[in-house]
Order: sequence, then C-alpha cells, then structure tokens
Amino acid sequence: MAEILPGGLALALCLIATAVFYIGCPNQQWFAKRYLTFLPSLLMSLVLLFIAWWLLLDLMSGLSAVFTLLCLEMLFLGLVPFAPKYDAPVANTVSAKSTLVRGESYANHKPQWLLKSIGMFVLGFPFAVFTSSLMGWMAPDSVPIDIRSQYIMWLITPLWLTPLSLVFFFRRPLSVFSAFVVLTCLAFGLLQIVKYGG
Amino acid sequence: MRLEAFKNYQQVHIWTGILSGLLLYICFVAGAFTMFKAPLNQWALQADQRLPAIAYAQYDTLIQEVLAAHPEAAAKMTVNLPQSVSQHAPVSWVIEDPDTHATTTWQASFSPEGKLLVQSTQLSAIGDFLDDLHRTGGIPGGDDHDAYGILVMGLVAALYFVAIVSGLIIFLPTWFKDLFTLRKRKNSKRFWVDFHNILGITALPFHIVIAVTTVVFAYHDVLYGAMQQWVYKDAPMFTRPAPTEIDRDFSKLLPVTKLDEAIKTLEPKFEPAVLEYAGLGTPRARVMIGGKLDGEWIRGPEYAYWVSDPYTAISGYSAMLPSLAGATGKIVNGFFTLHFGGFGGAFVHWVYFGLGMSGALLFLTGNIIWIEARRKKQKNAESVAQTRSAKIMARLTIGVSLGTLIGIAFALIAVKALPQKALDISFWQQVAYYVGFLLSIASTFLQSPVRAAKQLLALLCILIVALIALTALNVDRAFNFSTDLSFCFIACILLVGLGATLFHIHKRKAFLPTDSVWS
Repeated sequence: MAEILPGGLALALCLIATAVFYIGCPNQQWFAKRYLTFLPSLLMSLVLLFIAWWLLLDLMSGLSAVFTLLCLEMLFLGLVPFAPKYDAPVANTVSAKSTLVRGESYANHKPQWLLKSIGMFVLGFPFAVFTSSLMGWMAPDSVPIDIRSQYIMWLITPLWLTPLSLVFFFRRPLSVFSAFVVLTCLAFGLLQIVKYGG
Repeated sequence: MRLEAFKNYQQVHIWTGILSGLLLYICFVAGAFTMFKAPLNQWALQADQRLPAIAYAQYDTLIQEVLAAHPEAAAKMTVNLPQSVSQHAPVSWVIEDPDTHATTTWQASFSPEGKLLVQSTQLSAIGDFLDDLHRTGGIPGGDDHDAYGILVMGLVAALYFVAIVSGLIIFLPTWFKDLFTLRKRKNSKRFWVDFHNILGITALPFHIVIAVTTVVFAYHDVLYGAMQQWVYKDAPMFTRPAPTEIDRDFSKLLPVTKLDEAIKTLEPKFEPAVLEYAGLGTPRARVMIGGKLDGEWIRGPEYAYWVSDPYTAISGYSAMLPSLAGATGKIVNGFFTLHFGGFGGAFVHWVYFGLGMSGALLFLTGNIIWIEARRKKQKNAESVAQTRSAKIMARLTIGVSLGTLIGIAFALIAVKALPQKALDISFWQQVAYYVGFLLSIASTFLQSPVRAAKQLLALLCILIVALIALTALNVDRAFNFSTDLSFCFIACILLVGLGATLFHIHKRKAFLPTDSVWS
C-alpha cells in the first residue's frame, strides 16, 4: 500500500505535466486561444516532472526513475493529442514554410538504391566493428573483459545502421564510400595503437 | 533539405515500412502481452497441475531428496522459492529425449505429511508461448535459439531502424506545422498521417531502442564472431571459471540460506526467487540465481541475475547486478532492461504494455496510409478499378491485425478450457493460435474487407467475453485472485476499445464509396 501513494502521485503529476506542455504547443487543439507560450509551459512541465522524479525515488533508483518518467511521457504525449476539442489547430498563426528546396540536380537525379544500400550495408559493418572496438578499448582498464566485449558488441548495431539510414542523403555515394573506407582504416589503425602500443 | 533527398527518404520509408509493418505488428502485440508472461503462465495453471507449496526451511531437504531419487535432474533443475512468481511446484526439471528432442517436464514437492511427491506434467506456459510469438513473429521452424523467425525478425528490425530514421527525416521539413496536430476533417489520409506521426514522434526513443536491441538479440552470434575474427583474434572475450577440484557430491551442495547470505553481501536488497542449477555433480556445476530487485537497473524482465558455484558460493559472474555493474556494465544492462521494461517493477510493465500497443497502432496506421495513398478515387458515377496490390494489402492488414488478436484469444481459451493433464497442451495452444490467425486472414479474402473486419471484431469481442467468463468460473481465491483480476481488467480495456472500433466501422460503412478498396 505504501507504494501506491508516491507512484499514483507521480503518475498524476506526469499527466499534468504532459497537459501543461501540450497547452503551450503551437498546434494544441484544446483552446481557441493559446494561454501559454512554449517556453513557460516547457519549464512548468519540467518542474512537475522533477517533483514526480523525486516522488519515484521512494520506489526505485534515480536512473530507473528517469527512464520510467521518460516512458510515461512517451505514452502520455502520444495519447493527449487524441482528445482534441477542435478539428484542427486554431491558434497557430505562424505560417510554417516548408524548408524543402529544389536542388540543381533535381531534373537528372538518380536515386541509386541498390548501390547505396548494398554498398553502405557492406562497408558499414567493418567500420562499426572497428569503431565500437576502439570505443570499447578506450573504456577504463577496470572494466572486466566480459563487460567490455558485450559493450563493444552492443555498439556495433547502431554504428552500422545509422550510416545505412543516412546514405540516401548523398548525391554521390562513391565519395561517401571512400570516406568510410578511410574512416575504417583510421579506426583500425587507432585500435592497433590502443591495443598494443598504449 | 533538398527536395530529391526528401523524395528519396519518402521512398525509403514507404518500402521499409510496408515490408516490415505487419510482422512488427504481430511482434508488438505479442510483446505487449509478454510483459505479463509470468502472471499469464500463472493464470493458465490448472489446479491438478500444481503441487503443494512448501516452507522455506524444507527446500534443502527437497533438493536432496529429488537428486537422490532422480539423479537425471542434476543436469538442469529449477527451484522456485516462495518469492517466485511461478508457483506450479517448488522444484522442476526438464528431460529431453536425445533422439526426438521431445521434452517432458517433471516437478516435485512434499505432501503435507512430508512425503516426496514427483509427477511429470504438461504445463501450458502460455506466457512462454506468447514470448515465442513475440520473438519469431509466428514464423515456424528452427530450434529455440536459432529459430528462423528470430533471424527474419532481426532483418525486419534492421529495416525498422531505417524506417524510423527515414520517417523522422520526412517529418522534419513540416514539423512545426505537424507536431501533435490531428486534423480530423481534412481528408482520411491526412487524419491517418497525423495519427501515425503523433505515435511515431512521441515514442521515437522507445522505437530506436527496440529496433537496435532486436537486431542484436537475433544476430549477436554473428557480431561476436566478427569481433573474435577481426579484433580479439586469440584473446578471450569471456572469462570461463576454471573447473575446481572439490568434492562434487550432491550432499555437499550449499543450503539455500547460504546462497542467500552470499548474494546479500554483494547486493543487500536482492530477494532470491528462482535458482537454476546446472551440471550438478560435475566440475562445471553452477547456479544462476534470479531475484527481485524492483526499481533497480536489472538485466532480466523480472529478475536480476547472479551466477555462482552452488558448492562454494564463489561469485562467477556478477556484472548483471546493478551495484557491481559499473558505468559500462550499466550501459550493457540498459540495452536489456530498456527492451524488457524490467527497470521499475510491475509499474513499468504496465507502461511498456501501453507502449507496445501504441507501437502496434503505429504499424497498423502506416499500412492504412499506404493503402489510402494508392486508392483510386471514384469520380462521377463511373467506378474505378483499384490496383491489385492495394486490394491485397487492405485484406492482409485487416486479416493480420485482427487475426493476431483472435489467434491469441483462441490460444488463451484453449489453455483455460482444455484439460491440460489429458493432452499435449503446448501443442494444442499453438494449433489454436494458428487456426485463429489463418482463418481470420482467409475470411478477409473471401468477402469484402470491411465486412470481414466487422465480423472479426465481433468474434473477438465474443472471445474476450468468453475469456472473462472462463476466468470468473475458474477463479481460485486462495491462489490466483489478483492475477485473475488483472486479467479481467486488461480484457475489459481491450473489449471497450475493440467494441468502440466495431461501432465506429459500423457507422462509417455507409459512407464508404462502393468501389473502395475496403468495401
């Protein structure tokens, strides 16, 4: 029973913080007039979240409390916009101009799907393995070898998939690929220095 | 942003999304239910499958008597202490037939008079089945660790990661206008895009974590292999405890209280709940102790773990304990706990249930947008022919999204209504799931999708009512009361949500153009 009070209070504060933040957003659909601007509402909701965090310390460690609140916020922020009063944002008077520009190459643009995706999939892997190993070796000596190897293994995937996701921005994939070959060699070289030289 | 880059990313998002969406939907729905894996196993437990609980002081005698009467249990034996969530029996072990790989579960306890009771049993373990569904997406084949479904889902998760990044990129140019906006009256595609954006943007960190961890869960062997070959070469990546030369007779096993004391010196708040012994009597004997450590940064979905030697209580692998993990270990444990939602006890399990369901809706709305974008609009009185791909996708989207839920409801009804002692329940719960799932998909291809959706939703509501009734009829106040109550609570939430959807579709059906993909 002792757990329900701080937990329930934190939950309520989190919900209020979400509502306050939503009211301050330019696209809120609750009121015809915006009663709060963005910054004050953000500050107020952060203060509320801090109190909720402090309440949650009764139930869990500080780190767990941070992530619990983050997850709760993700859930609530995803729910609140589904209870609108108006069918469209009424108060947003700023005309949002699209930031898209038509580049010179637009007319003769080729997406090069296969080259970009397969190339980056293949080249990104050694890059990710050596870079994450380098990061693993730079962790303090006190880290046990089991943890070091797992840490390296976990870092490979984000380092591999992020370049794969971003390669489609580039017009000339071959120059991206050559940059990655250079970076991979650099990471490999540094890793040898850290492993054997340092 | 350059327009051509934007258009590139639109294509990337469309293709990665449509290829991964339905499988991810299945995994997210099953995953949301997996948050309640142990309570669901408990819910499905029938009275004749249960052996009496024993006092804490009786455990050592029970372990010794089991090992004396059934030495084959020494290879792999699970001990559920009174704090454990699974309460079917204090001690259980699994015997695998070396030829057929068929397994039998055995369990043991003491009768109230103190006599050893041993029986083989067929536990339904519906929670574990849902976990398998979550990990494989229901794709059959392969054995447990390398199931084909897991490998497929690893690739799907890589697509999912690319879909997340590309989705964020195509949201950015108009983010100021679109953030949190829900335009209901503009047109149906606008509404679904707004719906999709709200769910995707607000839960972005959650989705990134799930995508990355899923790739790693599926392909960690490949990643470790690459590290060994290219980086570690001959150096070891893991410590292996050296086999020690001590007397490994069963009678020399440390009592449970001694193990408890040993772990409390490392992690004072640790409450041991499950002891998993392996290789007893051999030099490689070990015990993995899982225990409650609510609100801490733990490794497992329910428990924190510590690996030790059951004869000496020397710590084998302690980096999974939050107090001893250090910063690097906390990052590693973080990947696990952020996927499992284990870091805040039952409270976070409920939040993760919500996030899982919201993720499932994200994929469902993504598919709806894909279909709506390809739907040819009816002009004048002429009817237009819809493309085959849009028609098939509309049917699959309805069939899979409702079929997953119907399959799960069938499986739940099977484990609650069928006598588990008389038949191979883990086989029949699978049959029930696939029958429900495949029949639902078939029904969308045999009639108009919107009619199929209405029928399937109505069927689903009936199934949920049946589940609530079955639970209420079998309620066991002494044993399972809170689990049963929570089960009915979730069932009621789902019932209200699905009923509202059914009502909404029924109202909207009259407005659908007659040649729409849906009608």
